[in-house]
Amino acid sequence: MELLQKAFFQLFHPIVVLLIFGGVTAGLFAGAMPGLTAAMALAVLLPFTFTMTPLHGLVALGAVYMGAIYGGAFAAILINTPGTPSSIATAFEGYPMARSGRAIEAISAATIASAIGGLVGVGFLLVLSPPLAQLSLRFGPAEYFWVAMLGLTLIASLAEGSLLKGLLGGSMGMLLGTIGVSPIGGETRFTFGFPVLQGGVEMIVALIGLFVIPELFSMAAHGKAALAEVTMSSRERGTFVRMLKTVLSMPGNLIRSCLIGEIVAIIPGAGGSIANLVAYNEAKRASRHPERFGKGTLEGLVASESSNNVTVAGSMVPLLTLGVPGAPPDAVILGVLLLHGLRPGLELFTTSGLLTYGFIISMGLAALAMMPVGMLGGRLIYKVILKTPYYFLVPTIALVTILGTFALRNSITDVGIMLVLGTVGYLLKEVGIASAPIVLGLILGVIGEVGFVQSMLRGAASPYPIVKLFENPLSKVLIALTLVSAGWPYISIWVKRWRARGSAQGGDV
Amino acid sequence: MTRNVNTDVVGGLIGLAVTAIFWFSLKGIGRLSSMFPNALLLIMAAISAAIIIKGFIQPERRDLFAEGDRPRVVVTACTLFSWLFAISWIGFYVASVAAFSFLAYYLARARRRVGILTFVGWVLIIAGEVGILYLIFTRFLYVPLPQGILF
Repeated sequence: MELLQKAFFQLFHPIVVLLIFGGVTAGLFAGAMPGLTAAMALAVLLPFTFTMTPLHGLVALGAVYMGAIYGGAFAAILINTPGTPSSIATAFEGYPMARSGRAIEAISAATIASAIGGLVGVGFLLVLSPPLAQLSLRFGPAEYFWVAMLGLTLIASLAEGSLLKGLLGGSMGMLLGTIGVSPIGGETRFTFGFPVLQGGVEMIVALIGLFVIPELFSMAAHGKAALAEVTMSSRERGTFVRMLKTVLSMPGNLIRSCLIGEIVAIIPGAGGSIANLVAYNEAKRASRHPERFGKGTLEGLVASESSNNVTVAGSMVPLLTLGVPGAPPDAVILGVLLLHGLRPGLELFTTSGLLTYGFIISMGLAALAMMPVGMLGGRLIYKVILKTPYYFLVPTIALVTILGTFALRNSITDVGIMLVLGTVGYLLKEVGIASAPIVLGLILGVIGEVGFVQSMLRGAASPYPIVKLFENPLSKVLIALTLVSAGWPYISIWVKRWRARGSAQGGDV
Repeated sequence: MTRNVNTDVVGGLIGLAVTAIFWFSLKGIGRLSSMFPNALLLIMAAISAAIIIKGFIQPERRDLFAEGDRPRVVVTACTLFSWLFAISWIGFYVASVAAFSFLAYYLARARRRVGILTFVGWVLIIAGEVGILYLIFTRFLYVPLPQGILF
């Protein structure tokens, strides 16, 4: 406790405060730019931390990380483009809200939910690091496979209208993920004679293409920008306080989403890109008005944003305790720790406790700093987008996406893949196959394939290797969750009919 | 002119076509690398068939490409692909200023009349906007943007 107090008070220094606000601002703008990920923002910042003290370096990186994950919400809300994969579900609700003139409401709610998520994540990190790290160790290949399958069944909620078309889109995404070198066998697959496809389809390239390009075509077709032109009326003043009350009035949603974010975060390799979708799906299931989802409801937006910001501190659990980066940005932080001679493990919480706890608490302060920075930055970005005529907005978005896609791997081929996928996504959307399940399939495909093939290899000596997928108790829990998730649309219809019948009978009596 | 089509049958056929393309590409690939795609292709074929069957029993019909101006979508798509090829050929900056200016002019014509002087002013603004992003990416983020025969 004394260590925590000391760690807390060492942060009250002008340089630390400056680093937190500067880091959150830089992260916010990087996250808001499609193609620039949190990992890239941290990697760019890395050389600047070499001259800093270990604490200052870690504080700056933590603040940028927090800001970048939150910044992804801006692009998701304002131009239907998740700035980072952690904000995919934010776009489902935030963009319809922005289109109906409620952009400031959406930004305010996302800001508050992100700040709460960030703070909760830090709380979890401080209290639950050791037991959660133990749980993450119990995840083997079979469990990873079932995590992927559980994610795939979420398509039931992501598909607009048709479950079958959602599953088809998800399978297409998974198939897209198999292009290139096989993660287990090492052979090259599905390159169709194009050597450039050996590197596979980068998930963020597909994400940008499938979400942005169809939207650009739609704007061009309609001859106007997608956002409704609303003035800063008196109704918008006090939006933040109103949204604060609204967000806090859904404690169940917040607690559930934060728990989901934390559980997903401690599984290495999963991270915010899966957490936001799982939390969104669960919020929809638990909602009294699931039919409002996808049309601009705050519940979904809050679930997505709170869960993805929990993962920032949450993914530090396996990093700081086991040295396993939970997500790509964590690898950069691990690099900084090692650079300063700090080894993950118990020592980090004892000998170097002052530094470690200082870093953890600074992430909580960064979560708080998101509120003033986010509200000012959010309004600024919103005004710029509103005042830009559509004939400038369309080419500007195209330019930024081309730049962001190229910058990922310095590859012009990636830009080509992004445009092709975007055009195909636009055509598929016309026949009812939405982009979201394809992207989700692509994210889960790699996790699913590695889990599936490794399980089969582990069972190679057995006459039925597939049994390896069903053996462990944790696998059984995940299978049960997957079955419930897959059958949920039908279960909910049955429950509604049963309730309707019950009330009709009650009425008759 | 738009056509009201059975999107279930079309979607299912697309699914089967994708399955077939990937299935034929899988020949000669080892067991470890083909294990997962094989399972996936079987599932995809089953889902596609189910969608087609649903299309005959309970079809979902829709007017394809009914919303908005279709030629503008085609021109926008062609401009984006031309932009991509021009980047490798003449360089990122020049290609981006040219493609951006054309797209802005073409899309603006749907809403207003664009005079020569206005357009020249736009090109200058666009050159500045692209220039700032070019500098940020090349000087601060160390991203080597394609040079081409110009820059």
